[in-house]
Amino acid sequence: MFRRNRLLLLAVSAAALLAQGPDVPLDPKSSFKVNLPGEGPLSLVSADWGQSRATARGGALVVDLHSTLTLKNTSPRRVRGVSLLVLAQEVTPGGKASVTVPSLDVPPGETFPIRVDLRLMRPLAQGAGALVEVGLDGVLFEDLVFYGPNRLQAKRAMVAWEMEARRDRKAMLAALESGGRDALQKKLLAVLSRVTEQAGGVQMARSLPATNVEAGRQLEFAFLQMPESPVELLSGSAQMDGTEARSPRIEVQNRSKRAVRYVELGWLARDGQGREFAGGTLPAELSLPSGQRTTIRKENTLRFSRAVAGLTAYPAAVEFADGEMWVAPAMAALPASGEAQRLAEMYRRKGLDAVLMQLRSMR
Amino acid sequence: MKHPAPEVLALYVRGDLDLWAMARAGAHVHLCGQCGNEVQAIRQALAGLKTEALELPAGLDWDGMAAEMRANIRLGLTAGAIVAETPAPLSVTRDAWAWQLGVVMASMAVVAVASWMLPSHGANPALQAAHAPVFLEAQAEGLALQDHGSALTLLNPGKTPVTTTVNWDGGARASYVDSETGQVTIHHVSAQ
Repeated sequence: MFRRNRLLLLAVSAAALLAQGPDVPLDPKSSFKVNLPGEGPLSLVSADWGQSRATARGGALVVDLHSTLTLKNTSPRRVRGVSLLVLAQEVTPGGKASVTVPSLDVPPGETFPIRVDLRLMRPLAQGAGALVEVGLDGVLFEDLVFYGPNRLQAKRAMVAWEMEARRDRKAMLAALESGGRDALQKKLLAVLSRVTEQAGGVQMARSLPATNVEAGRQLEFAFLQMPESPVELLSGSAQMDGTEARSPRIEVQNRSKRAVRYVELGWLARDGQGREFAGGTLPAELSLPSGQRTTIRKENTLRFSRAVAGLTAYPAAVEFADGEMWVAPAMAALPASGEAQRLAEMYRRKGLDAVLMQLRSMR
Repeated sequence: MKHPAPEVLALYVRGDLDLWAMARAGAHVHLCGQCGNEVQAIRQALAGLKTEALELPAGLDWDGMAAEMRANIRLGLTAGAIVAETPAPLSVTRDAWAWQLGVVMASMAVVAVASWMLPSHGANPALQAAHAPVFLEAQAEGLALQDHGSALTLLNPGKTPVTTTVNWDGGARASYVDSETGQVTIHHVSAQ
C-alpha cells in the first residue's frame, strides 16, 4: 500500500511538472539589449543576465529577467540620478516602464550598478526579436542639468526628487545644528516609522476606462493646506462606486506671480477606520496665468483593494512657465521622500555617524 | 467487522475508487447497515449541494470573482515556480503522503486553469484586443503592465518595504531602498 502511494505521488508530481512546462533556452545576447547613446554621459561597463530564465507555461512564455548593469559616468560632472527606459515592444506595445535611481553622487570616471528585475509573460509563439530593450531615458547632474530623450517625463520627476532630497538633507542638518545628534536621530526614527506604516497597507489600483460615470456617490476631497504653495486647492470631488474611484475633479488657483505650466497634486486614500492605505498623484499639464483658476479633470478609474472612506489632496509639485520647480515641504502627514528613506535606512544599518558623514559630504 | 474510513465511503459514493476497492466497499456497504446509512447521508448531502449550486446568490460580484481568479492564477504560477525550484523530498512518510498529494493536485488544477486562461497563439487576436484593455496593477509582487493578455512586471525586492503610488493619469510608481547598498530605486510603469 505504502509503495503504491509513493508511486502514485511520483506519477502525479511528474504530471504536474510536465503541465507546468520545461525551461526554454534563453540567449541573453539576443533576448536582452542595452542601448546607451554612444556620445552620452554614461557607458555600459558590464551587464550580468546570469540569473535570467524562461519557462513555458501553458500557451505562455514566462521570462524572469534579473540583471545588474554596471554603468560608468563618462561626463565631467557628478551624476545625481539615472533613469533607464525598459521596453518590451512585442509584449506590451501599449505601455512603457522605467527604472530610476535618484539620490546618487557619482563623480566623473566612477562606476555604479543598477539592478533590473522584471517578469515578462507573453504568448509562446509570439515574435523572435529582443524581448527587452533597456535604454537611457535621462541623466540628472549635480547642477540640475538634464540629458536624455525624456520619453517618460523623467526630467520633471528627477528634478523634483533631487529638490526633495536637498530639502530633506538641509532639514536634517538644521536639526543637527539646533538640537544636536538627538534631534537628528529623532528625525531619522520618524522616517523609519512612516516607512513601516506605509508598507503595512495593501495597495492595488488599476487604470481602467470609466464604464458608468453616473453610478456611485460623490466624495469630496479634503485638502492639506500649504501656505507656501504657489497653487491653492479650492474644491474637488471624485465619483465613488464600491472600491472604485473615478473622474476626479479639483479646482486650483494660481496664487503666485508667475504663470504655471504643470501641477502635480498628491492624494491619499483612507479606509473606514481612518487609516491611509494608498497614495498617488494627479498630474496636469496646464497653462495657468497668475491669479487664474482652472479645474483639473481625469477620466480614468482607480480600483482599490478596499472601500475608500476619504480622499485627501495636496499640491506636491508645481512647474512654472520659466521651468523652475517648487516642491511641497516635508510634512509628517506626507510620505517620506526617497532621500529621507535612504538616510533612515543608512542610520538603521550603519548608525548615526555614517549619516552625518553623508550629510556633510553632500552639503 | 472493520468499517471502511469515511473518506473511502465518500469516494465510493462518487464512484472515484479503483475497481477492486469499489467492489470491496460495495460489498461492505451491502452487508453493513451502519455504513449503508452513512452512504445514504453522503448521497443526500451531495444532492443538496447540487441543488444549491444551481441557484446563483443575488448581487454576485463578477468583477471581484474575476480579480480573485486572476490573483489565484498568479499565486498558482508562483507556487508552480517554487515547486520547480525545490528538490523533491527523498522520503515520504505514511502520514504525509495525503496532503502532499493534495498540494500537487491543487497545483495541477491551478496550472491547468492558468493554461486555459493564458493567451494561446491560436486565439483570435482581434477578439483579445476588443476585450482586454491595457491596464496597470500595483501588487505585492511588483508593478504590472498588462496589454492584451501579455504582461510586463517590474519586480519588487523580496524583503524591502516598498512605497507604491498610483498616478491618476495612467501610471504607477514603486520606490524602495536596497538595504545592502542603500540605493534608492524607483520603478515606473505607464500606459501610453
